[in-house]
Amino acid sequence: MMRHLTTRLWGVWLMLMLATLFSAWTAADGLPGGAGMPAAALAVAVGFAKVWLIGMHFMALRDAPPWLRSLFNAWSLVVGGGVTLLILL
Amino acid sequence: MSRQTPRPEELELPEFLMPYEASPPAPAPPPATAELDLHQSGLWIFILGDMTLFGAFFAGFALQARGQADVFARSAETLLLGVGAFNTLILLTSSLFVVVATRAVAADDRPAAARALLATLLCALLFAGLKLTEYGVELSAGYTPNTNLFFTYYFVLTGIHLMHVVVGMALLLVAWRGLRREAGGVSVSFVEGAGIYWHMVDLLWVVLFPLLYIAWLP
Repeated sequence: MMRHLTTRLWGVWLMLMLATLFSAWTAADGLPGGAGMPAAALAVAVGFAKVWLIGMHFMALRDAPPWLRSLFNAWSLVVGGGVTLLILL
Repeated sequence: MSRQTPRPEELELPEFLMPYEASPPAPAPPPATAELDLHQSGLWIFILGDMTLFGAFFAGFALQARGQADVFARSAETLLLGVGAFNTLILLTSSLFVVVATRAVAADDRPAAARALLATLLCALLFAGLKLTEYGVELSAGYTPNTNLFFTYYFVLTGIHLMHVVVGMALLLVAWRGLRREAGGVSVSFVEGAGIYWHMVDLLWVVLFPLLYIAWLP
């Protein structure tokens, strides 16, 4: 069953899992740099980076028509950037 | 009785006497990126619309948190961080199984696709079970949607997400049952569509987890 996966897809999955574990571990031990808006913004920005990886690799948007890839990139940038800025400012 | 002469097109000629026909043109190279059909385009428009709605919720939540940092910090502390993290790992793994299913069905390996979808469904059940258990713990501790703005957002956002999980499970179940039938019970595009929907369920949770469980911790 798993022979249908490529090394790239395994790598993306591993990266997503490690990022989640790292986020949870740092949150349990206190966010890097202590609590506050920069730490909160960083946690959320990492979440949106994971979203982008899921979109490009799991949803195969890297091979999708440009208009669709552009819309997804725009969503990631506008929503991810907007929410991160709202927390920071 | 006169002998009928065969017409020229009825004559069987040896191959080297056959009239010359230009060889068919070579097939055009595949485009660099696959084009979407109408159904796939419609699905993507729905997915992006749903993501935009959630995006508005995320922004509203972040905006509200600015004035109530202490309330949000105290409330986030009461959430079960370990369960939230474990549920994130479950959904990420379920998404990997969906990738296996869509690639297997495209390669006409339907048994492997069915097994991968079954694994996805088991992950989804585990996620939903843990989420309901978490709700039980929070409600029994006295935290309800009316407790404060953080918990209003928490129950609304995770509740809507859980509804998406249930819809996704229904789609995956239909795809799985179709794949188990002998003669093409379900199309490749249906499995792909259900898979894209499930990835969206995963993707939204990947933002909800840090936004609700981590960002406001003291």
